[in-house]
Amino acid sequence: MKRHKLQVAVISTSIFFFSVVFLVGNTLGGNSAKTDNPTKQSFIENGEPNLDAIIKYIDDMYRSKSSISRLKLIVTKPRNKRTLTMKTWTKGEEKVLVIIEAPPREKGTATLKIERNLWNYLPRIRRTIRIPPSMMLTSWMGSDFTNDDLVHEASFQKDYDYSLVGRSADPNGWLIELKAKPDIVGLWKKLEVIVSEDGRVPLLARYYDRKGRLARTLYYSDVKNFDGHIIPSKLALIPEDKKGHKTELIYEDIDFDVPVPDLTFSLSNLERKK
Amino acid sequence: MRTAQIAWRNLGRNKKRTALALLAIAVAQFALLATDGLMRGYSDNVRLAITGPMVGHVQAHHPNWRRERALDLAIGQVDGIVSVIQQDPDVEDVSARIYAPVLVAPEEDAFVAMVVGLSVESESSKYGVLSGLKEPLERGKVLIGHRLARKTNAKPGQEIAVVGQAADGSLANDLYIVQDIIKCPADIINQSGIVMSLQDAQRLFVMPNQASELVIRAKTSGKSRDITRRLSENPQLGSIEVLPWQEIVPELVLILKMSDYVGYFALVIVFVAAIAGIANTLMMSTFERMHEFGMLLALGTRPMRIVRLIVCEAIFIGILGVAIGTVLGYGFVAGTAERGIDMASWGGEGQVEDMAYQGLNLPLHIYPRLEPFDSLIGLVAVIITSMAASVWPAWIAGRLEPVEAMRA
Repeated sequence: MKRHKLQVAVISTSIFFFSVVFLVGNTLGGNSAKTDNPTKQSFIENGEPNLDAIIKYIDDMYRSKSSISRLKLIVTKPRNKRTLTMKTWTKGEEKVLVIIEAPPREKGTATLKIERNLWNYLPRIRRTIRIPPSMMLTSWMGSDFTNDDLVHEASFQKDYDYSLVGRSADPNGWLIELKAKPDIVGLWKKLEVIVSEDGRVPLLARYYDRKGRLARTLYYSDVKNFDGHIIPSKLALIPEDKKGHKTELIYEDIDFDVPVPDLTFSLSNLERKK
Repeated sequence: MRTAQIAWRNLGRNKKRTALALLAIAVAQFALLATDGLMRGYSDNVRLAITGPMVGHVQAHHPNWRRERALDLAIGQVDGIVSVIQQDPDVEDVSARIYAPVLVAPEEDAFVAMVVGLSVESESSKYGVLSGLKEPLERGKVLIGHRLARKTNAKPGQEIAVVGQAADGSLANDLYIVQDIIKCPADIINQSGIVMSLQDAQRLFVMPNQASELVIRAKTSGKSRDITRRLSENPQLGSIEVLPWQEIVPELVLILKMSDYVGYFALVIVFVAAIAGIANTLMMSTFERMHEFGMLLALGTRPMRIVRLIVCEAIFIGILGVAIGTVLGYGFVAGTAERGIDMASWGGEGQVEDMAYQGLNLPLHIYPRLEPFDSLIGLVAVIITSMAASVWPAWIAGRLEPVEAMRA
């Protein structure tokens, strides 16, 4: 038995909800310091995109003080495709609760994230388990989202030096290059982000690994207005090295800045929701 | 009197000199046999570690399983496939297995682990993963690798949660009772193994009558390629990939070869040292008898007879020494073969019990073993050396001027 292969398989394992919660946590996790709705800002000045404003907008695009949302996660692999619907509650950047609503086999399974801790409640066996910190830096089942992306509270503004490359033809928009700052430890050496002509909507982001190879592409689409937040409601991640793999995250409904009591994010509440 | 008789009598004339030469040869032959026995024992350990509990002699998988190791790339209708394989005349037994990465949680904290679902009956045989287990593994219960148990603090009788992803992508989770903590020759199981019955694993991971891998053990280890060929040509197995262990773990075959080469190298060093010792002893004992040879020449003995005499003595000493060394060598191997030699205990404080490589344990408890003809190498080498080491001084002795030789 090849030990290293088995170990890779073991290490890369996590539970489905693990990735979901961080994905949700980073897209919906609130930035309580944010005050203005960036949708109203102007991103084009003298015919040139205002990069500082655009990058800040992308960083804060899905963030708010609190939220309740419904979303769908579709994981496509060469031999199967799974769809999960879930409801999420977020408060600030640190608190996220996800409860699976469908399919029936997973219904009621809940995941709670508080700061860097993550718990899963498994209704079938009535157990709550805490996900080990070692899982935070590994990929999820070899799937398209890596846990590093999901856990790491990356900030384009803080972690990358960015510059305008020019206009993009396919798709139409502005191409911005982001290079990881030398002191930042992460998976990505460089990103290429294409934003719409008016700079308000990201269209895609290409991720290049530490060796400079294109590793994956994140596509943003289906722009919708949620509570005055005009944001892409669908994210699709396609890895370069896994033919036939795709992970899609579709926001069906988001209520921003709604009251969410602290009690929502407690272990006892997690178990009561069974 | 015949030369051979005189040579034989000469051995008893200077007992101290003869004893010294015999000792040198016997020790050399003993060292050769003991080293050979230990190297064979170690090589057996490595081969057994590979083909014993974890890899087997032949394996069968879904054609893409080895590339992706995904649960849905399984062998279907596994009961029927196992029956077909068991009909092969060289197959001893077949074990169906499921491997699945999971999280295991004895309490609230979860740990990374790997479920190994296996056929309890066939894995309880001599070389199976469950060999030596006090009680057979029961349904609803699991065995935990001893290192994983230490990490997770899991205890026998405790209920643990096992959580992973099923073959259909759904959430697999269930509770199991820890039946026992195991120490297994497969290091991957010691480090991260949750061992459960194949039926429990099939149920947990939604794999009805399916398995990730079939481990086939041959009646004799040399038959792995024959079995592979026959099974690969069997239409009843469909597109299932069948491979001998040499192709499953080629890097371990390389290690095995390297281990053999290291063994040969050690053997050559011992061999050269032994030969040098014998040559030195025989040459010294011949040179110190130059006065005696001078006397014989003065009395009219022909030079060639002196040469024959010396060579005969050397051959007698060689055969006797090899016989003594062989008895000692086989005695050593016979005395240690049953209980083995615990090389780990030579490590002193903080010793290790075994070495692990590529997920396989290489036990440091070695059971020396010799083949029937191993002593012949020593016999032939020592006789040739004895002759070679005596011919030169004998040739010098044959050309001596008697008067000068007697003055020496």
